[in-house]
Amino acid sequence: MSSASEPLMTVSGLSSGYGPVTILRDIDISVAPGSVTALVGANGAGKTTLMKAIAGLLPAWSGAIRFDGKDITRVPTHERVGQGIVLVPEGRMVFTLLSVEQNLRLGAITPRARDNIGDRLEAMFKRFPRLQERRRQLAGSMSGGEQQMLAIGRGLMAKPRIVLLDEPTLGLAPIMVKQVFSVIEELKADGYTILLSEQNSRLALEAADHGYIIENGRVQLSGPGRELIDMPDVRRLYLGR
Amino acid sequence: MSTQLLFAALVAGSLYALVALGLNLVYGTLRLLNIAHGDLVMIGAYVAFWMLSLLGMPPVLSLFAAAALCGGFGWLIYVGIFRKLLSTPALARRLEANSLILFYGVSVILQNGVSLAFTSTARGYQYLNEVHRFAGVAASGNRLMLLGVALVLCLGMLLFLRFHLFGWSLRAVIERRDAAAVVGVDVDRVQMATICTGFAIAGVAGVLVSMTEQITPFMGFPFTIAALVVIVLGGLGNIFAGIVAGFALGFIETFGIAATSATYRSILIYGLFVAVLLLRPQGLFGKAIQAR
Repeated sequence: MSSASEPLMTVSGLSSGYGPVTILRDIDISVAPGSVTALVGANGAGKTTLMKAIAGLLPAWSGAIRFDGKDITRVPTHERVGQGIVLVPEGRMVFTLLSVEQNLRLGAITPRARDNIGDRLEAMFKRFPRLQERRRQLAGSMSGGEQQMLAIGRGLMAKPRIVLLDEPTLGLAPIMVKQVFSVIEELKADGYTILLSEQNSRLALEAADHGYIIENGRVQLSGPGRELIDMPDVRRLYLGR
Repeated sequence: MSTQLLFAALVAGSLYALVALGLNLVYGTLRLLNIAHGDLVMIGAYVAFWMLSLLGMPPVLSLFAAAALCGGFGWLIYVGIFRKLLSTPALARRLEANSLILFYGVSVILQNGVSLAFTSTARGYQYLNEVHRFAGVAASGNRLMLLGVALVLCLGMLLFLRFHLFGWSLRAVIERRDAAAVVGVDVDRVQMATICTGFAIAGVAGVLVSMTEQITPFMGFPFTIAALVVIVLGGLGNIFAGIVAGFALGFIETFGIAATSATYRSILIYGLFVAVLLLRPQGLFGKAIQAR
Protein backbone atom coordinates (compact mmCIF):
# COMPACT_ATOMS: atom_id res chain seq x y z
CA MET A 1 0.00 0.00 0.00
CA SER A 2 1.26 3.43 -0.86
CA SER A 3 1.11 6.25 1.64
CA ALA A 4 -0.72 9.44 0.72
CA SER A 5 2.44 11.29 -0.20
CA GLU A 6 3.56 8.68 -2.72
CA PRO A 7 2.12 8.81 -6.23
CA LEU A 8 -0.38 6.09 -7.13
CA MET A 9 1.00 5.87 -10.64
CA THR A 10 4.23 7.02 -12.24
CA VAL A 11 5.26 6.98 -15.86
CA SER A 12 8.99 7.42 -16.35
CA GLY A 13 10.98 7.85 -19.53
CA LEU A 14 8.16 6.41 -21.62
CA SER A 15 8.50 6.28 -25.41
CA SER A 16 5.94 4.71 -27.70
CA GLY A 17 4.21 5.10 -31.03
CA TYR A 18 2.66 3.32 -33.98
CA GLY A 19 4.73 1.14 -36.29
CA PRO A 20 7.81 3.15 -37.32
CA VAL A 21 6.36 6.44 -36.05
CA THR A 22 7.50 7.66 -32.65
CA ILE A 23 4.81 9.66 -30.87
CA LEU A 24 5.84 9.75 -27.22
CA ARG A 25 9.38 10.72 -26.26
CA ASP A 26 10.69 10.29 -22.76
CA ILE A 27 7.48 11.09 -20.92
CA ASP A 28 7.52 11.51 -17.14
CA ILE A 29 4.30 11.99 -15.25
CA SER A 30 2.94 11.00 -11.89
CA VAL A 31 -0.55 10.88 -10.42
CA ALA A 32 -1.20 11.36 -6.72
CA PRO A 33 -3.93 9.27 -5.12
CA GLY A 34 -7.29 11.04 -4.93
CA SER A 35 -6.20 13.78 -7.31
CA VAL A 36 -7.34 14.95 -10.70
CA THR A 37 -4.38 15.18 -13.05
CA ALA A 38 -4.88 16.78 -16.44
CA LEU A 39 -3.00 16.23 -19.69
CA VAL A 40 -3.56 19.16 -22.00
CA GLY A 41 -2.14 20.14 -25.35
CA ALA A 42 -3.00 20.47 -28.98
CA ASN A 43 -4.67 17.85 -31.09
CA GLY A 44 -2.04 15.28 -32.07
CA ALA A 45 0.30 16.14 -29.22
CA GLY A 46 0.22 12.53 -28.02
CA LYS A 47 -2.31 12.64 -25.18
CA THR A 48 -4.37 9.74 -26.46
CA THR A 49 -1.25 7.74 -27.31
CA LEU A 50 -0.09 8.21 -23.73
CA MET A 51 -3.47 7.07 -22.42
CA LYS A 52 -3.34 3.99 -24.64
CA ALA A 53 0.16 3.15 -23.48
CA ILE A 54 -0.90 3.46 -19.83
CA ALA A 55 -3.89 1.21 -20.52
CA GLY A 56 -1.67 -1.32 -22.29
CA LEU A 57 -3.21 -0.94 -25.75
CA LEU A 58 0.16 0.21 -27.07
CA PRO A 59 3.48 -1.31 -26.02
CA ALA A 60 6.03 0.85 -24.25
CA TRP A 61 9.18 1.02 -26.39
CA SER A 62 11.22 2.17 -23.47
CA GLY A 63 10.63 3.50 -20.00
CA ALA A 64 8.39 2.16 -17.27
CA ILE A 65 4.91 2.46 -15.87
CA ARG A 66 4.49 1.78 -12.17
CA PHE A 67 1.18 1.44 -10.41
CA ASP A 68 0.84 1.17 -6.64
CA GLY A 69 4.50 0.27 -6.35
CA LYS A 70 4.40 -2.46 -9.01
CA ASP A 71 5.93 -2.37 -12.47
CA ILE A 72 3.09 -2.91 -14.94
CA THR A 73 4.95 -1.95 -18.12
CA ARG A 74 4.49 -5.40 -19.69
CA VAL A 75 1.15 -6.38 -18.13
CA PRO A 76 -1.62 -7.00 -20.72
CA THR A 77 -4.58 -4.63 -20.90
CA HIS A 78 -7.21 -6.84 -19.28
CA GLU A 79 -4.94 -7.53 -16.30
CA ARG A 80 -4.34 -3.81 -15.82
CA VAL A 81 -8.12 -3.42 -15.68
CA GLY A 82 -8.10 -6.21 -13.12
CA GLN A 83 -5.66 -4.18 -11.02
CA GLY A 84 -7.91 -1.13 -11.26
CA ILE A 85 -6.39 0.86 -14.12
CA VAL A 86 -9.48 1.64 -16.15
CA LEU A 87 -9.55 3.56 -19.42
CA VAL A 88 -12.65 5.41 -20.58
CA PRO A 89 -11.44 5.63 -24.16
CA GLU A 90 -11.52 8.45 -26.66
CA GLY A 91 -14.54 8.07 -28.90
CA ARG A 92 -16.33 6.30 -26.03
CA MET A 93 -16.19 2.83 -27.61
CA VAL A 94 -19.41 1.61 -26.06
CA PHE A 95 -20.70 -1.67 -27.46
CA THR A 96 -23.40 -0.34 -29.75
CA LEU A 97 -25.04 -3.74 -30.28
CA LEU A 98 -25.36 -4.48 -26.56
CA SER A 99 -27.94 -2.90 -24.28
CA VAL A 100 -27.02 -0.17 -21.82
CA GLU A 101 -27.29 -2.60 -18.93
CA GLN A 102 -25.19 -5.23 -20.70
CA ASN A 103 -22.50 -2.63 -21.34
CA LEU A 104 -22.46 -1.74 -17.64
CA ARG A 105 -22.40 -5.34 -16.46
CA LEU A 106 -19.63 -6.13 -18.90
CA GLY A 107 -17.66 -3.34 -17.24
CA ALA A 108 -17.56 -5.51 -14.12
CA ILE A 109 -16.15 -8.59 -15.84
CA THR A 110 -12.81 -8.73 -14.03
CA PRO A 111 -12.71 -10.99 -10.93
CA ARG A 112 -12.07 -8.06 -8.58
CA ALA A 113 -15.20 -6.25 -9.77
CA ARG A 114 -17.68 -9.11 -9.78
CA ASP A 115 -19.12 -8.81 -6.28
CA ASN A 116 -22.43 -6.96 -5.62
CA ILE A 117 -22.85 -6.14 -9.28
CA GLY A 118 -26.55 -5.56 -8.71
CA ASP A 119 -25.99 -2.94 -6.00
CA ARG A 120 -23.32 -1.14 -7.94
CA LEU A 121 -25.52 -1.16 -11.04
CA GLU A 122 -28.25 0.57 -9.04
CA ALA A 123 -25.74 3.08 -7.71
CA MET A 124 -24.65 3.76 -11.28
CA PHE A 125 -28.25 4.36 -12.33
CA LYS A 126 -28.60 6.78 -9.44
CA ARG A 127 -25.50 8.63 -10.65
CA PHE A 128 -26.67 8.61 -14.28
CA PRO A 129 -30.51 8.57 -14.26
CA ARG A 130 -30.50 8.84 -18.04
CA LEU A 131 -28.92 5.39 -18.26
CA GLN A 132 -31.68 3.89 -16.13
CA GLU A 133 -34.31 5.24 -18.51
CA ARG A 134 -32.43 3.64 -21.39
CA ARG A 135 -31.42 0.51 -19.57
CA ARG A 136 -32.82 -1.98 -22.11
CA GLN A 137 -32.03 0.11 -25.16
CA LEU A 138 -29.10 -0.63 -27.47
CA ALA A 139 -26.18 1.60 -26.56
CA GLY A 140 -25.77 2.57 -30.21
CA SER A 141 -29.17 4.23 -30.23
CA MET A 142 -28.14 6.88 -27.70
CA SER A 143 -26.77 10.36 -28.24
CA GLY A 144 -23.05 11.09 -27.99
CA GLY A 145 -23.41 12.64 -24.54
CA GLU A 146 -25.38 9.68 -23.24
CA GLN A 147 -22.84 7.30 -24.68
CA GLN A 148 -20.10 9.24 -22.87
CA MET A 149 -21.99 8.82 -19.59
CA LEU A 150 -22.33 5.11 -20.37
CA ALA A 151 -18.62 4.82 -21.12
CA ILE A 152 -17.81 6.46 -17.77
CA GLY A 153 -20.37 4.28 -15.99
CA ARG A 154 -18.95 1.16 -17.63
CA GLY A 155 -15.50 2.18 -16.46
CA LEU A 156 -16.71 2.79 -12.89
CA MET A 157 -18.27 -0.69 -12.81
CA ALA A 158 -14.73 -2.10 -12.93
CA LYS A 159 -14.01 -0.65 -9.44
CA PRO A 160 -11.23 1.56 -10.77
CA ARG A 161 -8.38 2.69 -8.56
CA ILE A 162 -7.46 5.16 -11.26
CA VAL A 163 -9.79 6.35 -14.03
CA LEU A 164 -8.15 7.35 -17.30
CA LEU A 165 -10.60 9.73 -18.95
CA ASP A 166 -9.45 10.21 -22.53
CA GLU A 167 -11.02 13.22 -24.29
CA PRO A 168 -14.38 12.81 -22.57
CA THR A 169 -15.88 15.94 -24.12
CA LEU A 170 -14.76 15.37 -27.70
CA GLY A 171 -17.58 16.11 -30.13
CA LEU A 172 -20.10 16.92 -27.41
CA ALA A 173 -22.48 19.89 -27.31
CA PRO A 174 -21.52 22.66 -24.82
CA ILE A 175 -24.25 21.65 -22.40
CA MET A 176 -22.92 18.08 -22.35
CA VAL A 177 -19.37 19.35 -21.88
CA LYS A 178 -20.55 21.08 -18.71
CA GLN A 179 -22.22 17.89 -17.53
CA VAL A 180 -19.11 15.81 -18.10
CA PHE A 181 -17.07 18.25 -16.02
CA SER A 182 -19.62 18.20 -13.22
CA VAL A 183 -19.37 14.40 -13.27
CA ILE A 184 -15.60 14.74 -12.97
CA GLU A 185 -16.08 17.02 -9.94
CA GLU A 186 -18.43 14.46 -8.38
CA LEU A 187 -16.02 11.62 -8.97
CA LYS A 188 -13.25 13.64 -7.37
CA ALA A 189 -15.45 14.38 -4.38
CA ASP A 190 -16.12 10.63 -4.10
CA GLY A 191 -12.39 10.04 -3.83
CA TYR A 192 -11.63 8.69 -7.29
CA THR A 193 -8.16 9.23 -8.73
CA ILE A 194 -8.47 10.64 -12.23
CA LEU A 195 -6.08 11.15 -15.11
CA LEU A 196 -7.86 13.39 -17.61
CA SER A 197 -6.80 14.12 -21.14
CA GLU A 198 -8.64 17.05 -22.62
CA GLN A 199 -8.48 19.45 -25.54
CA ASN A 200 -10.46 21.98 -23.60
CA SER A 201 -7.39 23.16 -21.69
CA ARG A 202 -9.00 25.82 -19.54
CA LEU A 203 -11.77 23.63 -18.16
CA ALA A 204 -9.33 20.76 -17.64
CA LEU A 205 -6.75 22.87 -15.77
CA GLU A 206 -9.46 24.48 -13.66
CA ALA A 207 -10.67 21.04 -12.59
CA ALA A 208 -7.20 19.62 -12.06
CA ASP A 209 -4.99 19.53 -9.01
CA HIS A 210 -2.01 19.05 -11.26
CA GLY A 211 -1.52 19.57 -14.97
CA TYR A 212 0.89 18.49 -17.67
CA ILE A 213 1.21 20.30 -20.96
CA ILE A 214 2.08 17.89 -23.73
CA GLU A 215 3.59 19.09 -26.98
CA ASN A 216 4.99 16.90 -29.77
CA GLY A 217 4.98 13.86 -27.54
CA ARG A 218 6.95 15.51 -24.72
CA VAL A 219 5.99 17.05 -21.40
CA GLN A 220 6.61 20.79 -21.91
CA LEU A 221 5.45 22.12 -18.59
CA SER A 222 3.88 20.83 -15.46
CA GLY A 223 2.54 22.23 -12.25
CA PRO A 224 -0.59 22.80 -10.20
CA GLY A 225 -3.54 23.44 -12.52
CA ARG A 226 -4.19 26.96 -11.24
CA GLU A 227 -0.57 28.01 -11.60
CA LEU A 228 -0.45 26.80 -15.19
CA ILE A 229 -3.54 28.82 -16.03
CA ASP A 230 -1.86 31.97 -14.72
CA MET A 231 1.34 31.55 -16.71
CA PRO A 232 1.47 34.04 -19.61
CA ASP A 233 2.94 31.52 -22.10
CA VAL A 234 0.29 28.98 -21.27
CA ARG A 235 -2.45 31.59 -21.59
CA ARG A 236 -1.14 32.68 -24.96
CA LEU A 237 -0.44 29.23 -26.44
CA TYR A 238 -3.09 26.98 -24.94
CA LEU A 239 -5.88 29.10 -23.57
CA GLY A 240 -6.24 31.37 -26.56
CA ARG A 241 -5.41 34.70 -24.93
CA MET B 1 -47.19 -26.40 -49.75
CA SER B 2 -46.49 -29.95 -48.66
CA THR B 3 -45.43 -30.54 -45.08
CA GLN B 4 -42.91 -33.07 -46.35
CA LEU B 5 -41.14 -30.35 -48.29
CA LEU B 6 -41.34 -28.07 -45.28
CA PHE B 7 -39.62 -30.71 -43.16
CA ALA B 8 -36.90 -31.20 -45.78
CA ALA B 9 -36.32 -27.44 -45.84
CA LEU B 10 -36.09 -27.33 -42.05
CA VAL B 11 -33.54 -30.14 -41.99
CA ALA B 12 -31.43 -28.56 -44.72
CA GLY B 13 -31.78 -25.15 -43.10
CA SER B 14 -30.77 -26.34 -39.64
CA LEU B 15 -27.65 -27.98 -41.08
CA TYR B 16 -26.70 -24.82 -42.98
CA ALA B 17 -27.35 -22.73 -39.89
CA LEU B 18 -25.15 -25.02 -37.78
CA VAL B 19 -22.25 -25.18 -40.24
CA ALA B 20 -22.40 -21.42 -40.79
CA LEU B 21 -22.57 -20.77 -37.04
CA GLY B 22 -19.07 -22.18 -36.55
CA LEU B 23 -17.65 -20.25 -39.49
CA ASN B 24 -19.32 -17.04 -38.37
CA LEU B 25 -18.07 -17.29 -34.79
CA VAL B 26 -14.49 -17.71 -35.96
CA TYR B 27 -14.76 -14.94 -38.53
CA GLY B 28 -16.48 -12.60 -36.12
CA THR B 29 -14.01 -12.88 -33.25
CA LEU B 30 -10.73 -13.62 -35.04
CA ARG B 31 -11.46 -12.04 -38.44
CA LEU B 32 -10.07 -15.15 -40.05
CA LEU B 33 -11.94 -16.58 -43.01
CA ASN B 34 -11.72 -20.31 -42.48
CA ILE B 35 -12.01 -21.71 -45.98
CA ALA B 36 -11.23 -25.15 -44.49
CA HIS B 37 -14.40 -25.05 -42.39
CA GLY B 38 -16.20 -27.58 -44.60
CA ASP B 39 -13.23 -29.91 -44.33
CA LEU B 40 -13.73 -29.98 -40.57
CA VAL B 41 -17.28 -31.14 -41.32
CA MET B 42 -15.67 -33.90 -43.40
CA ILE B 43 -13.35 -34.83 -40.53
CA GLY B 44 -16.34 -35.08 -38.21
CA ALA B 45 -18.07 -37.37 -40.71
CA TYR B 46 -15.04 -39.65 -40.89
CA VAL B 47 -14.79 -39.77 -37.11
CA ALA B 48 -18.36 -41.09 -36.99
CA PHE B 49 -17.74 -43.60 -39.79
CA TRP B 50 -14.56 -45.08 -38.33
CA MET B 51 -15.73 -45.06 -34.75
CA LEU B 52 -18.75 -47.08 -35.85
CA SER B 53 -16.84 -49.38 -38.23
CA LEU B 54 -13.84 -50.10 -36.01
CA LEU B 55 -15.13 -49.75 -32.49
CA GLY B 56 -18.85 -50.18 -33.00
CA MET B 57 -19.34 -46.82 -31.30
CA PRO B 58 -22.80 -45.38 -32.04
CA PRO B 59 -22.63 -42.10 -33.99
CA VAL B 60 -24.51 -40.28 -31.25
CA LEU B 61 -21.40 -40.73 -29.09
CA SER B 62 -19.21 -39.68 -31.99
CA LEU B 63 -20.84 -36.26 -31.72
CA PHE B 64 -18.65 -35.76 -28.66
CA ALA B 65 -15.57 -37.44 -30.12
CA ALA B 66 -15.73 -35.29 -33.27
CA ALA B 67 -16.31 -32.15 -31.22
CA ALA B 68 -13.27 -32.96 -29.11
CA LEU B 69 -11.06 -33.79 -32.11
CA CYS B 70 -12.01 -30.73 -34.18
CA GLY B 71 -12.03 -28.46 -31.13
CA GLY B 72 -8.58 -29.75 -30.25
CA PHE B 73 -7.42 -29.03 -33.78
CA GLY B 74 -8.72 -25.48 -33.37
CA TRP B 75 -6.79 -25.12 -30.13
CA LEU B 76 -3.60 -26.43 -31.77
CA ILE B 77 -3.87 -24.08 -34.73
CA TYR B 78 -4.60 -21.11 -32.45
CA VAL B 79 -1.78 -21.74 -30.02
CA GLY B 80 0.61 -22.79 -32.78
CA ILE B 81 -0.04 -20.07 -35.34
CA PHE B 82 -2.61 -17.40 -34.63
CA ARG B 83 -2.04 -16.32 -31.04
CA LYS B 84 1.32 -14.75 -31.77
CA LEU B 85 0.27 -13.27 -35.12
CA LEU B 86 -2.96 -11.76 -33.80
CA SER B 87 -1.28 -10.10 -30.84
CA THR B 88 0.78 -7.88 -33.16
CA PRO B 89 -1.56 -5.36 -34.83
CA ALA B 90 0.55 -4.97 -37.97
CA LEU B 91 0.70 -8.72 -38.53
CA ALA B 92 -2.96 -9.16 -37.61
CA ARG B 93 -4.02 -6.77 -40.36
CA ARG B 94 -2.14 -8.75 -42.97
CA LEU B 95 -3.27 -12.02 -41.50
CA GLU B 96 -6.91 -11.19 -42.06
CA ALA B 97 -6.36 -11.12 -45.82
CA ASN B 98 -3.88 -13.97 -45.81
CA SER B 99 -6.05 -16.25 -43.70
CA LEU B 100 -7.92 -17.23 -46.86
CA ILE B 101 -4.77 -18.61 -48.43
CA LEU B 102 -3.55 -20.14 -45.19
CA PHE B 103 -6.80 -21.99 -44.63
CA TYR B 104 -6.90 -23.01 -48.28
CA GLY B 105 -3.62 -24.79 -47.55
CA VAL B 106 -5.15 -26.43 -44.47
CA SER B 107 -8.08 -27.48 -46.63
CA VAL B 108 -5.87 -29.11 -49.28
CA ILE B 109 -3.89 -30.93 -46.61
CA LEU B 110 -7.00 -32.23 -44.84
CA GLN B 111 -8.72 -33.37 -48.03
CA ASN B 112 -5.70 -35.13 -49.45
CA GLY B 113 -4.52 -36.46 -46.11
CA VAL B 114 -7.86 -38.16 -45.54
CA SER B 115 -7.94 -39.31 -49.15
CA LEU B 116 -4.48 -40.81 -48.79
CA ALA B 117 -5.30 -42.54 -45.53
CA PHE B 118 -8.77 -43.83 -46.32
CA THR B 119 -8.96 -43.61 -50.18
CA SER B 120 -11.47 -41.37 -51.88
CA THR B 121 -14.14 -44.08 -52.02
CA ALA B 122 -17.54 -42.86 -50.88
CA ARG B 123 -18.55 -44.44 -47.60
CA GLY B 124 -21.71 -44.66 -45.59
CA TYR B 125 -23.48 -46.50 -42.85
CA GLN B 126 -27.03 -47.16 -41.72
CA TYR B 127 -28.09 -45.49 -38.52
CA LEU B 128 -31.52 -44.55 -37.20
CA ASN B 129 -33.05 -44.92 -40.64
CA GLU B 130 -36.43 -46.12 -39.41
CA VAL B 131 -39.20 -43.86 -40.68
CA HIS B 132 -41.47 -41.93 -38.35
CA ARG B 133 -44.78 -40.63 -39.63
CA PHE B 134 -46.58 -37.63 -38.19
CA ALA B 135 -48.59 -34.71 -39.53
CA GLY B 136 -48.23 -35.90 -43.10
CA VAL B 137 -44.44 -36.12 -42.83
CA ALA B 138 -42.33 -39.23 -43.26
CA ALA B 139 -39.10 -38.53 -41.40
CA SER B 140 -36.16 -40.83 -40.82
CA GLY B 141 -34.76 -40.99 -37.30
CA ASN B 142 -31.37 -39.68 -38.39
CA ARG B 143 -32.90 -36.57 -39.98
CA LEU B 144 -34.90 -35.94 -36.84
CA MET B 145 -31.70 -36.23 -34.84
CA LEU B 146 -29.91 -33.86 -37.22
CA LEU B 147 -32.70 -31.31 -36.86
CA GLY B 148 -32.86 -31.75 -33.08
CA VAL B 149 -29.13 -31.46 -32.41
CA ALA B 150 -28.69 -28.53 -34.81
CA LEU B 151 -31.63 -26.66 -33.27
CA VAL B 152 -30.40 -27.25 -29.72
CA LEU B 153 -26.89 -26.05 -30.56
CA CYS B 154 -28.04 -22.96 -32.47
CA LEU B 155 -30.57 -22.05 -29.80
CA GLY B 156 -28.08 -22.76 -27.03
CA MET B 157 -25.53 -20.46 -28.64
CA LEU B 158 -28.10 -17.69 -29.04
CA LEU B 159 -29.18 -17.97 -25.41
CA PHE B 160 -25.55 -17.94 -24.29
CA LEU B 161 -24.86 -14.80 -26.32
CA ARG B 162 -28.02 -13.14 -25.04
CA PHE B 163 -27.89 -13.92 -21.35
CA HIS B 164 -24.41 -14.93 -20.25
CA LEU B 165 -21.69 -12.48 -19.27
CA PHE B 166 -19.17 -14.43 -21.34
CA GLY B 167 -21.59 -14.41 -24.26
CA TRP B 168 -21.60 -10.61 -24.04
CA SER B 169 -17.84 -10.54 -23.89
CA LEU B 170 -17.77 -12.60 -27.08
CA ARG B 171 -20.12 -10.11 -28.74
CA ALA B 172 -17.94 -7.32 -27.42
CA VAL B 173 -14.87 -8.85 -29.08
CA ILE B 174 -16.82 -9.27 -32.33
CA GLU B 175 -17.84 -5.62 -32.28
CA ARG B 176 -14.58 -4.03 -31.12
CA ARG B 177 -11.69 -6.06 -29.82
CA ASP B 178 -9.76 -3.06 -28.46
CA ALA B 179 -12.82 -1.85 -26.55
CA ALA B 180 -13.32 -5.36 -25.19
CA ALA B 181 -9.76 -5.35 -23.86
CA VAL B 182 -10.38 -1.91 -22.35
CA VAL B 183 -13.26 -3.18 -20.21
CA GLY B 184 -11.16 -6.09 -19.01
CA VAL B 185 -12.12 -8.91 -21.37
CA ASP B 186 -9.27 -11.39 -21.87
CA VAL B 187 -9.42 -11.21 -25.67
CA ASP B 188 -6.87 -13.97 -26.11
CA ARG B 189 -8.96 -16.38 -24.08
CA VAL B 190 -12.16 -15.43 -25.90
CA GLN B 191 -10.45 -16.01 -29.23
CA MET B 192 -9.13 -19.38 -28.18
CA ALA B 193 -12.48 -20.52 -26.79
CA THR B 194 -14.23 -19.33 -29.94
CA ILE B 195 -11.96 -21.07 -32.43
CA CYS B 196 -12.29 -24.31 -30.43
CA THR B 197 -16.08 -23.94 -30.30
CA GLY B 198 -16.37 -23.04 -33.98
CA PHE B 199 -14.26 -26.00 -35.05
CA ALA B 200 -16.08 -28.34 -32.67
CA ILE B 201 -19.45 -27.30 -34.09
CA ALA B 202 -18.19 -28.15 -37.58
CA GLY B 203 -17.15 -31.59 -36.33
CA VAL B 204 -20.58 -32.16 -34.81
CA ALA B 205 -22.23 -31.10 -38.07
CA GLY B 206 -20.05 -33.65 -39.88
CA VAL B 207 -21.25 -36.49 -37.67
CA LEU B 208 -24.86 -35.45 -38.34
CA VAL B 209 -24.24 -35.32 -42.09
CA SER B 210 -22.65 -38.78 -42.10
CA MET B 211 -25.84 -40.23 -40.60
CA THR B 212 -27.87 -39.14 -43.59
CA GLU B 213 -25.60 -39.25 -46.61
CA GLN B 214 -22.48 -40.83 -48.06
CA ILE B 215 -19.17 -39.26 -47.22
CA THR B 216 -15.98 -38.63 -49.22
CA PRO B 217 -12.77 -36.72 -48.46
CA PHE B 218 -13.97 -33.97 -50.79
CA MET B 219 -17.46 -33.49 -49.35
CA GLY B 220 -16.39 -30.42 -47.36
CA PHE B 221 -16.08 -27.75 -50.03
CA PRO B 222 -19.81 -27.43 -50.79
CA PHE B 223 -20.36 -26.90 -47.07
CA THR B 224 -17.75 -24.15 -47.00
CA ILE B 225 -19.48 -22.44 -49.91
CA ALA B 226 -22.93 -22.85 -48.39
CA ALA B 227 -21.68 -21.49 -45.06
CA LEU B 228 -20.06 -18.54 -46.79
CA VAL B 229 -23.29 -17.78 -48.64
CA VAL B 230 -25.15 -17.97 -45.33
CA ILE B 231 -22.88 -15.61 -43.41
CA VAL B 232 -22.76 -13.14 -46.28
CA LEU B 233 -26.55 -13.33 -46.39
CA GLY B 234 -26.80 -12.65 -42.67
CA GLY B 235 -23.96 -10.15 -42.42
CA LEU B 236 -20.46 -11.24 -41.45
CA GLY B 237 -20.07 -11.68 -37.72
CA ASN B 238 -23.78 -11.27 -37.01
CA ILE B 239 -24.48 -14.57 -35.25
CA PHE B 240 -28.25 -14.34 -34.91
CA ALA B 241 -28.80 -13.20 -38.49
CA GLY B 242 -26.46 -15.97 -39.65
CA ILE B 243 -28.68 -18.59 -38.09
CA VAL B 244 -31.79 -17.06 -39.63
CA ALA B 245 -30.00 -16.93 -42.97
CA GLY B 246 -29.05 -20.61 -42.66
CA PHE B 247 -32.70 -21.55 -42.46
CA ALA B 248 -33.50 -19.12 -45.26
CA LEU B 249 -30.96 -20.84 -47.51
CA GLY B 250 -32.42 -24.25 -46.62
CA PHE B 251 -35.88 -23.05 -47.63
CA ILE B 252 -34.72 -21.32 -50.81
CA GLU B 253 -32.76 -24.38 -51.87
CA THR B 254 -35.43 -26.95 -51.05
CA PHE B 255 -38.37 -25.07 -52.52
CA GLY B 256 -36.30 -23.76 -55.42
CA ILE B 257 -35.30 -27.28 -56.41
CA ALA B 258 -38.87 -28.51 -55.97
CA ALA B 259 -40.06 -25.77 -58.30
CA THR B 260 -37.33 -26.37 -60.90
CA SER B 261 -34.99 -29.36 -60.73
CA ALA B 262 -31.98 -30.54 -58.77
CA THR B 263 -29.68 -29.35 -61.56
CA TYR B 264 -30.49 -25.78 -60.55
CA ARG B 265 -29.10 -26.19 -57.02
CA SER B 266 -25.77 -24.50 -57.72
CA ILE B 267 -27.38 -21.77 -59.77
CA LEU B 268 -29.74 -21.03 -56.91
CA ILE B 269 -27.04 -20.88 -54.27
CA TYR B 270 -24.43 -18.97 -56.26
CA GLY B 271 -27.11 -16.74 -57.76
CA LEU B 272 -28.26 -15.82 -54.28
CA PHE B 273 -24.65 -15.22 -53.23
CA VAL B 274 -23.94 -12.87 -56.14
CA ALA B 275 -27.28 -11.11 -55.77
CA VAL B 276 -26.65 -10.38 -52.09
CA LEU B 277 -23.13 -9.16 -52.76
CA LEU B 278 -24.38 -6.85 -55.47
CA LEU B 279 -27.48 -5.53 -53.79
CA ARG B 280 -26.79 -5.67 -50.05
CA PRO B 281 -23.11 -6.39 -49.33
CA GLN B 282 -23.62 -5.69 -45.63
CA GLY B 283 -26.04 -8.65 -45.48
CA LEU B 284 -29.81 -8.83 -45.54
CA PHE B 285 -30.15 -7.91 -41.88
CA GLY B 286 -26.91 -6.16 -41.80
CA LYS B 287 -25.15 -3.51 -40.02
CA ALA B 288 -21.69 -3.56 -41.47
CA ILE B 289 -19.05 -4.59 -38.95
CA GLN B 290 -15.89 -2.63 -38.64
CA ALA B 291 -12.66 -3.66 -40.24
CA ARG B 292 -9.85 -3.85 -37.77
